Amino acid sequence: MQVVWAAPGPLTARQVAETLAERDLAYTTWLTVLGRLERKGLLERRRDARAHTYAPVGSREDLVAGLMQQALGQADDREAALQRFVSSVTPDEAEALRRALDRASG
Amino acid sequence: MLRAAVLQAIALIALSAGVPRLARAPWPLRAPGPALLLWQALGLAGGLLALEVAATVALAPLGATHAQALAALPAPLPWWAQAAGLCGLAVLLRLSVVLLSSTLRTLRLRHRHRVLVDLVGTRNPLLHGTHVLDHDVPVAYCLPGLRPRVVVSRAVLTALDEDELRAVLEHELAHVVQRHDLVVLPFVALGVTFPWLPPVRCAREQVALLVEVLADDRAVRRHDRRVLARALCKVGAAGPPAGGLGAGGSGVLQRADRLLAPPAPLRPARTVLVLATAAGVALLPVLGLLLPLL
Repeated sequence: MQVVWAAPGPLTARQVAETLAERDLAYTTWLTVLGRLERKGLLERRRDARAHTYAPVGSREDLVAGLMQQALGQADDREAALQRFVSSVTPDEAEALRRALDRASG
Repeated sequence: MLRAAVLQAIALIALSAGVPRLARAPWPLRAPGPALLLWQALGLAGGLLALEVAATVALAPLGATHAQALAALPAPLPWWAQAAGLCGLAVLLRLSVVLLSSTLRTLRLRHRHRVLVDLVGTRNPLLHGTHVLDHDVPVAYCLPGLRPRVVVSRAVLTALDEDELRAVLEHELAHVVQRHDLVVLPFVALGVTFPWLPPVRCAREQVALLVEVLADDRAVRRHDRRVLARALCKVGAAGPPAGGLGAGGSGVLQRADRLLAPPAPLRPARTVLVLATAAGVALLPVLGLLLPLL
């Protein structure tokens, strides 16, 4: 994913293999990896003149933003998939919290 | 049999009447573990008793006990017994479907979230492999499950000092280790099945709070209470202001108060009483089934 994100445009599997040549993996392995990432909805496959090219569906920032949205409960988290340390508080609660802390330390 | 159904219904109503009183009572914060057991007993007994009332009414025309009536099936039933039976079946079906689908949905959501966290998060070896998301809104959470992840955003790393951060991570680790997700899951299913029932909503909120309190307790075993309270304040207040459902009812204040001025734990005799009550409540549905035999 890092390679695809860093690339200026869509990449073919061969280009990915060349960029990551030090991993010394077969071309078909890269095809499998890219296919899996596509099925997960992370990459978009386009048909070019001779080979398929892959481009990221969202930037890294987009994905982080999506995760944060889920984590902050802005997405539909009725099923409570994750457990947050503290949910957001109202301004009144924040004020009361600060007062309680001041009392404790003073 | 109809008399048994009435007694079962009375037990059910008594339990629901007890729910808001338990939710308002101050002692659960002094004994969160036993209180959670009591909530679980209440949830189980409530669900089973509701099903039992329907089944007992439906079977009443066919015999003096459940066993007799079941042996007489299939047999023609008056309309009210049919209606009761259908209601019971509908609730049973809906409960099992919701439990199954919400579990699957949660697992899928978690899996997808974990894949993405592994992809875009950076692991911090100094913090037991905590995953860090590059974002300037503070959030700390855990993805429970067999391959759990503790995740914090970069804003948390900058907002908290090292002690506070370690206390927060300990809190999240407690969720993971004690499998709090499993405790919460059935109440979420109950809430999705009966969203309009106040006792169910009440139970769900209280269980969510008690789970946090348990995790707080575990975190303060090795960390200073005031440090965790400070972290609670910093992370809670720095996030986007709460809105919509649950605003103001998040229990953050209760948790902070509890950390800053810890109440004495419940006396052992009282704790035993709570546990005995939980056992008694859990046995109510069994008693309900035995009623026609008495």
